[in-house]
Amino acid sequence: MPLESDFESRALPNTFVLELTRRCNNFCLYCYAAEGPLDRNKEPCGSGEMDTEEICGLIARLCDQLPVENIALSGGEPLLRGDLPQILAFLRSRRINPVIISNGTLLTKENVAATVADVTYEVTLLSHRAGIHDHLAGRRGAWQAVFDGMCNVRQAGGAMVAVFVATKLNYVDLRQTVELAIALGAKGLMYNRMNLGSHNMRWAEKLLPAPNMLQENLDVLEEAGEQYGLPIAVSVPIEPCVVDVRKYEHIQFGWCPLAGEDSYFTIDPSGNVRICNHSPVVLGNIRQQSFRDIYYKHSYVKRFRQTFPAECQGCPPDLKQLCCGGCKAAAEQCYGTPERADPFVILNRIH
Amino acid sequence: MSTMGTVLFKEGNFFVDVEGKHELIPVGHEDAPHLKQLVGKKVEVVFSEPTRFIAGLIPTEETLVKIVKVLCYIPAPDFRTAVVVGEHARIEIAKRMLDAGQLSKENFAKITAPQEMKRTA
Repeated sequence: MPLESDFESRALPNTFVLELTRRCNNFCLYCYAAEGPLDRNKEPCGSGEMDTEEICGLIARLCDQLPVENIALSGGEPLLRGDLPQILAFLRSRRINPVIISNGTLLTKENVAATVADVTYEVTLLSHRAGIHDHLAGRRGAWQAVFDGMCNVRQAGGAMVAVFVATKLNYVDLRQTVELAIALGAKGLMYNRMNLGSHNMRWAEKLLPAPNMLQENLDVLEEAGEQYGLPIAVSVPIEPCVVDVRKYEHIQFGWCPLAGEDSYFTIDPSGNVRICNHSPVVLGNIRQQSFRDIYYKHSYVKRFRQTFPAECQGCPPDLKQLCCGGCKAAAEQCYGTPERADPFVILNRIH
Repeated sequence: MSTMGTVLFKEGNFFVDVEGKHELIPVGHEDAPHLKQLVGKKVEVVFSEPTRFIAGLIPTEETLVKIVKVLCYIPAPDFRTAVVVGEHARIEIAKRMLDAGQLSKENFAKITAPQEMKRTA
């Protein structure tokens, strides 16, 4: 593994994503995982996944090295792991805030009862219309299962955030979907435009929302944020050269933390470390290496922090500073390098 | 954990008076205008756990239109303490969706089912 010896003094991150499994019971058209939803389910059930003891050991190891405060449990679908309650109990014993990132279809009363304490669920709700949600999720019945699951979380007094992934097929449903999310008890909304990757690039023409669609959606979110006071976050960058996001006061826009202290390094089911959940580049394995070595010394991490896409060089400085070239992980997935601009920018031919 | 309090402004800082004790409100530069509007008003104060700090303030009147700034916003776990839409408003939205044919009666019943006790570990 390429390592460089010089030491940086930057602060360590306190938030991590732990992918507990590659398995998923949905087959989302927009799935951002590099291998796509079908390949994720080819492996025999649970093969290559760390067991409960290994996962808890890994968390303990991370806590020994870092000031860990938040861990998001993701996948695949984390509720497919039967030991999720034990993993959550271990996180609580370490005073770590757990988040479960879920497609919401397995939030049965029993699963909610076993996981709800002190957890925030991030649940994907793609439309107020069952047909649209099911089409995008690749499975009939998914919408009703999510609906029931969110009802179960609310009834159990749990906290949840609805996640809307915007595509050409569902962007018109945003207003009613936000209202449904509120009615179901969501305490916040995360709005993500579809993020491109090596698997879903083939669907870009059919699914990737155009700038005018995103603009329309942001107007809806701004109004909803003002009307209902709902906290709204945009996590996947909407680059300001494509849509001017600076006028929105009720929306919190997220930008790539560039592998710095605000990042959420991601650990896969085998212990491999990546810069974020969208990046396909494995930096090392946490079972054999220290996170500090990866964070401070890995040549790819340094390159990721320093590089700026050539396509963005002509951008005004204030825009450059805001978006830092967009999602480098998406560029890595689609073009094999973080030195290109986010494919969302390139496809919209702004430069 | 939450309790009731009154927002105060003293010597350039915002506090919330909770049972006579003044708790300092952590303020980002975007929060000050919102907090100014709350000075002198009763609010529900949400404290983080296990480390106790003020994570959110919720105006007490329950209306359909309620603007609440969540003070600590990112990362996602901070959504935990945001209680932004009151129960009455939530049901109103569900009723509207039922009337518009966007919700079935069966699903409406699920949305309006009573909440159980909050679970904690």
